[in-house]
Amino acid sequence: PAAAAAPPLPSDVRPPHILVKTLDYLIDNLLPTLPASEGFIWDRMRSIRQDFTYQNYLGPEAIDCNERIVRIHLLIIHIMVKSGNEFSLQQELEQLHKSLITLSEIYDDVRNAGGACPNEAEFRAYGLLSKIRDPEYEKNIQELPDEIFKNELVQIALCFRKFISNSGFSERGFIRTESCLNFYTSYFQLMKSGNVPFLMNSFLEIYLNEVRFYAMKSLSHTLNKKSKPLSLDYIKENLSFNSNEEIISFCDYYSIDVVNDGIDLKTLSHHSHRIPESKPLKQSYLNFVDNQLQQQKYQHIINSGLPNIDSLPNVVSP
Amino acid sequence: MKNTESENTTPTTSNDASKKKTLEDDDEFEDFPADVWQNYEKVQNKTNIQNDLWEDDWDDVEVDDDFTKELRAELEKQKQSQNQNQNQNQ
Amino acid sequence: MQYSLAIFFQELSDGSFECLSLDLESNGERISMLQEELCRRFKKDKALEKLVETQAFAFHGKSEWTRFNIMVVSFLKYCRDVNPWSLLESYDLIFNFYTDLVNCLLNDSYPIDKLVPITKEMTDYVVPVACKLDNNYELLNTRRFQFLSYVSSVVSKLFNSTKPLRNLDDHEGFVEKPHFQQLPGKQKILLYLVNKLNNIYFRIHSPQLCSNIFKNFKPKCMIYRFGEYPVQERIEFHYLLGRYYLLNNNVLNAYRQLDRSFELLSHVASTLNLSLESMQPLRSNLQRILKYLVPAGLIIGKLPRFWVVGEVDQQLAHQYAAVARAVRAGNLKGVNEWLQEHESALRRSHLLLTLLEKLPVLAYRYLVRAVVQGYTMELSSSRVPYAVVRRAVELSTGPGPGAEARLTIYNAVHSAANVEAMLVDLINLNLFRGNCFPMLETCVVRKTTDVSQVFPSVPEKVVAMFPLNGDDAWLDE
Repeated sequence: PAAAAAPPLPSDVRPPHILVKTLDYLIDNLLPTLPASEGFIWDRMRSIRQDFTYQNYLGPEAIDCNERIVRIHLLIIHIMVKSGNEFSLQQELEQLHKSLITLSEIYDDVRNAGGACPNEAEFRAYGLLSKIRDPEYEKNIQELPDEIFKNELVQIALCFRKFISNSGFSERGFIRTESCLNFYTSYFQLMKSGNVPFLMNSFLEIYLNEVRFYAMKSLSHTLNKKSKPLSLDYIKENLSFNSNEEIISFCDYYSIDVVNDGIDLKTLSHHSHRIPESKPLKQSYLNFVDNQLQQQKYQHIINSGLPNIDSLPNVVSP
Repeated sequence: MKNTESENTTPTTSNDASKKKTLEDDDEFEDFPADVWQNYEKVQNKTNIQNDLWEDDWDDVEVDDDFTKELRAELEKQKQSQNQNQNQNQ
Repeated sequence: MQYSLAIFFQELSDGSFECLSLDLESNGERISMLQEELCRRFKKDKALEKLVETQAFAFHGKSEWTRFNIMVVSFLKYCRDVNPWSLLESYDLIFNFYTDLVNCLLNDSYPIDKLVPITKEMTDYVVPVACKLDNNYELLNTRRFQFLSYVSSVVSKLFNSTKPLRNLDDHEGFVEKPHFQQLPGKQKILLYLVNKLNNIYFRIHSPQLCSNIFKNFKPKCMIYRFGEYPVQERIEFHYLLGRYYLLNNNVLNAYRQLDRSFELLSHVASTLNLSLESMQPLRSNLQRILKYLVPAGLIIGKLPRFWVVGEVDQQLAHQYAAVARAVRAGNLKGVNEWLQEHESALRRSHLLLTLLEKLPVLAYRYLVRAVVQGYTMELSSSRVPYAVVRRAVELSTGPGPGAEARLTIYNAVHSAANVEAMLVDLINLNLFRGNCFPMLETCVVRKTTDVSQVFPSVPEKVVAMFPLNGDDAWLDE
């Protein structure tokens, strides 16, 4: 809401158990209507979060709703990109980040009070992927207890952060640092290894274009005049494109010459994956990740966590 | 009254404890005896600063461990098979 | 000695403000005598306020210094009500006085210089008190780091109120480019405050707050050159700035600052002939610096002389010598095993993930260097086939995680399947001169017998690619 808007009347704010039911309803009845219902779901989820904020409620219902809202955003990102329908990735990510920040604050509070939340590691892992180059997240994760730091999802998220750390990454306000890895091959390989759950893969998909761009950019720096164009098969295999058409439109966007026997990377002249004043490149997804999704029900993915009701030692279930 | 007041001035054990490092934090600098710094500021002819902490070039420092031996043997093998290939091709 | 309110007020009028110390150990005797007198005669706060008001303090012709009076009242309340056996009953008195004392210093138009030394002393006094209280936050039912956060907010008010005086109107005895002794009182403790705040921010696990302090320090500072500040404060400043850079993975800058800190402290020690044996804080502070300096140096490709490190810290030297050997051999498995072995200590100092990210590049460089030396150059060739590099990487990383194994940061980052991306990375970091021919699965390098033609010096390339922060240049003056 606008900053100037009056706070809602107490009678208009839904109590926690109703908010849980509202979210249940969205999951059971509206998720199946994606991608058409994206805007509506986005809006309803935001208002659930707002109602928790208005009453400053940080109990188990708030944890539960925020966790499931994060999962829904992740699910939606993949579904929308796959569908090709218009949607705002930036708005989706904004709400996702807010939920993750709320969660990390609650997890800290619960821990300071001597409790533990059963799904914390999963969401700490998403946090590591949400600001994938922000060292603050690495500082914090190293301070958390072993059961979080050594959790496999957290460890996998850390691996992806390393693959993508990349000393050649260039964006306004970002300071490049020494001796980073740019392990684009591993980025795709680990995504497709079967060790990364669908929701995490969906999050990782938002970086596909950028990983491919910096792979091409650094590859182009290693080529010399005698280098032959790179075959489409090679590009497809190494940078995990779904089809040749995808490669062509990618090259088109970054003004890379496509010639008879492949693509001529030496013609790539952009320094950053973001081209100022042009529309961003269409988001990408991987067929592998889509197959992962086809094997599960939406509700099942979203409701996959453990109950939060016993996270605090002195809170008794209602 | 007077008695208790004078007792107040004696630091108790709990006050002593407050002087110890209370948070686990080994990273904060410890104070030196104050005269160290005063003496340093007084020294007129300070020695030249020289930093002998670093080797000139890491590349010059060879390692000869099991891994290095294993790697050398493997490269030797690769070299031999490359030589053989070349000979066959000639 | 008989002490009394009358003497106390006389001391204040004379500007002998050391009488305002809360420290029971150094000032307890006098405080207890004041307590007796105050309990007898000024049980009511109103009476106390009246008493202070009637003293009509005036300094340098400035009367009506309300904040000064408030501060004196706070001090007397502390004297009257302090329970020397209970910090819990006394801490609000302590923090109230400290806050009121600092408030006196916020407005430069009053004669504040003489209050500066006692403010510094009391800052040194309240920080450990806040630490002690915060240690018991669960018992006290306060937020974590509540007291230290409070102290930091007071100290930062003082820091923020400090500004460089630009002309004679601002300050009598104004000098254009002042030496330390010519600085106004608050300027004299500016670097002290910077260090104090940054130390607190590290302690309360919020080192990102240091950023503002580092940024605003120079604009506030009016000293003629950084080297004029007391050497102990400079040493600590370089150390804290270095650690801050390291937390942000900004390794070359971290190295520069930590190395400077080490250099200065060693210099003090050698100039004064201090020995590590006789001076424990010297050894511990050098250890603190090396704990961060050694890894920072390794990452930018500099090898410490471990016997020098060992004189200060045998264990540290031993530890890092092992990982330096693994890096130099190109042994990634060795690097990973080392990280895993020291995981908890490295996590505590926030070094684990930085080393995990940045040491492997060096190990790969030495590995490919061994391939070029042992294969390409032996064959008098210019080719570095991916297949040969792949064999070397396989040896270096060891077998990957099995199908059933849990993935970890130690077994899932490096693999032989990644050879081309790894070579591309080295070339892009200018650590390896070569061209890739992806379609031919080979790299081509210059035909030479001098390996340094293909693998230039790491520190030089790092410095060329990641310039030092120009804002720090004045610290070397």
